[in-house]
Parts: sequence; structure tokens; C-alpha cells
Amino acid sequence: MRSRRAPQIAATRSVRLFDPGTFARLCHARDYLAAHYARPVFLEEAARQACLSPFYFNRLFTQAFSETPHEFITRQRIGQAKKLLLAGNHSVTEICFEVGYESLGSFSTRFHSLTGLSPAAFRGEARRIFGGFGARWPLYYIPACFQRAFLGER
Amino acid sequence: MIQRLSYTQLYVLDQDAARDFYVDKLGFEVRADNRMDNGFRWLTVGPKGQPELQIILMKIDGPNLDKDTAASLRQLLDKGILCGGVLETSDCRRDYDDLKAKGVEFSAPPVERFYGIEAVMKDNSGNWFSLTERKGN
Repeated sequence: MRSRRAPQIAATRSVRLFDPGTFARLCHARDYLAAHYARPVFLEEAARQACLSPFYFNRLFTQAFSETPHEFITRQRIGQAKKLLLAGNHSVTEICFEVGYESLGSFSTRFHSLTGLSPAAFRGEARRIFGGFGARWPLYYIPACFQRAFLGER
Repeated sequence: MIQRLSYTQLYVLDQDAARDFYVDKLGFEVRADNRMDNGFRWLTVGPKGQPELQIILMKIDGPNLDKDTAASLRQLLDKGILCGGVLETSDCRRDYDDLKAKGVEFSAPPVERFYGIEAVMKDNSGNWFSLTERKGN
């Protein structure tokens, strides 16, 4: 997500409840961001969805959802990248552009900072653990204790 | 020190119906929906205001439970014994009206308590929840 003028992030991350109208507007903007995560989205554009100024939107969004709009977009992009890495044979570069990054370097850096692995290492590790490409990859999303309890997995 | 709850589980009668209920009526979002070869379906939802929490909607007659256990769970759901927790709102009366209009079943209307305003509702499997507007939000 791009911001023409970096707003001051709210100092506090404590989540609070909002009146229903404000919360609905923030949810509307959040849904908008979720639907457009794969292209550059300006903060002003998202703020407009909530009928708020960019600064105020950034602050209220963070208070309502305990993450900034930028962090939310990043989470959507990296989450989708993980799915694509596990689900298909697309190259890392293809996936980088597919989820909205314009540079392989920034994608890889962000991916590594959030997962502890490079995109290629993440794919390799998941395939090694889940026993082969294409068959068991959805297990990645299920905590191991649930796999043991409900699937009889090791 | 434990710092947060990330997964919790509810047993549901039908996962499609439960998904519709939590998304269409309560406004939650789907966090994961994966199907396994053996019929097991990993379905989680969560309120938009709590991105780190996933509520697992587990089918009671899935491959993980034997028939007797599933029958017992069904009985408990029918009796309304299983509690899903407390859902927080900033306006209990308004949500009560909205959810009632959407067909959500309530076993108690909004009532003033010393800690806020509380109603009691059920999901479409029989899990009950407190819908609470706390004082001093």
C-alpha cells in the first residue's frame, strides 16, 4: 500500500470498540483493501471508502483491527503468496508480481521478515514436511495437534 | 506467559450452514477453508475486529468422531448446553434488533446488568453466546 505522505501511526495498539456506524465504515474500507490488495492502493483511496481523512482513517483502523492498513495489506499479500507457493508451480517472481509487489527484492525481504524463510525455502520446507507437492499442502494451515487428533497424522 | 488465544473450536451440525451463519448474519470473515481427501474440512472464521483469532467450525459427524460421540454432541447442542463465549458489541440493543431481523435466535433479550447490557443468542447449531455491551468501552 502506498502513502503519499506517511501518516503518524497511532502510538497505541490497544483495540477499542467503535459505534456501529464507524465500525461498519471501517469494515467497508477493510473489505475494499482486501479486494484490491494485489494492486497499489493509496491510503487516501482506502480512507475515502470510510469517509475519513487519511490520518484519522489510519488511526481508527489501527485501533479497530490492531494492525495498520499497511500491515493488513502486507498480511493479505504474504498470505496469498504462501498459498500460491504451496499450491502451484509458479516461480517466485511470478508470485511476487501476482500478489502486488513491484520488486522481487522487497517481496523476498518482507516474506523473510514475516516467515523467517525465503519464499523458495518456504516452498521447499512445506513440501518436505507435507509429503509431496499438491497432495497434502492444505495441511500447512492446520496446527499439528489438530492433525493428530482429527486426521491421525503423526 | 500466555499472551493470546489464537484458535478456539465450536462443534457445528453443518459446516456450510455454519459458514453462512457466521459470515452472512454475524459479519465474520472466513479465515481458512480447506478440504482433505478423507472428507475432513478445516473451516475457520473470525470477527473482523480480531484478526489473530480463528474459530474452528468443526463438524460433529466428521471423520474425527465416532458415532456415539457425535450423537452425544448433537444431544448437547440440541439442549443448548454448549457455550461459545462472549461476543462484544458497542451497541447491544441495535445488534439485537439487526440480528433478530436476520433470523438469529435469541434466548434472552438485552438486559441491563451491572457490567453492561447483555443478550443471549444462539448460532444455527445450538451453541449459545452472550452478546455484551460492556460499560465504559
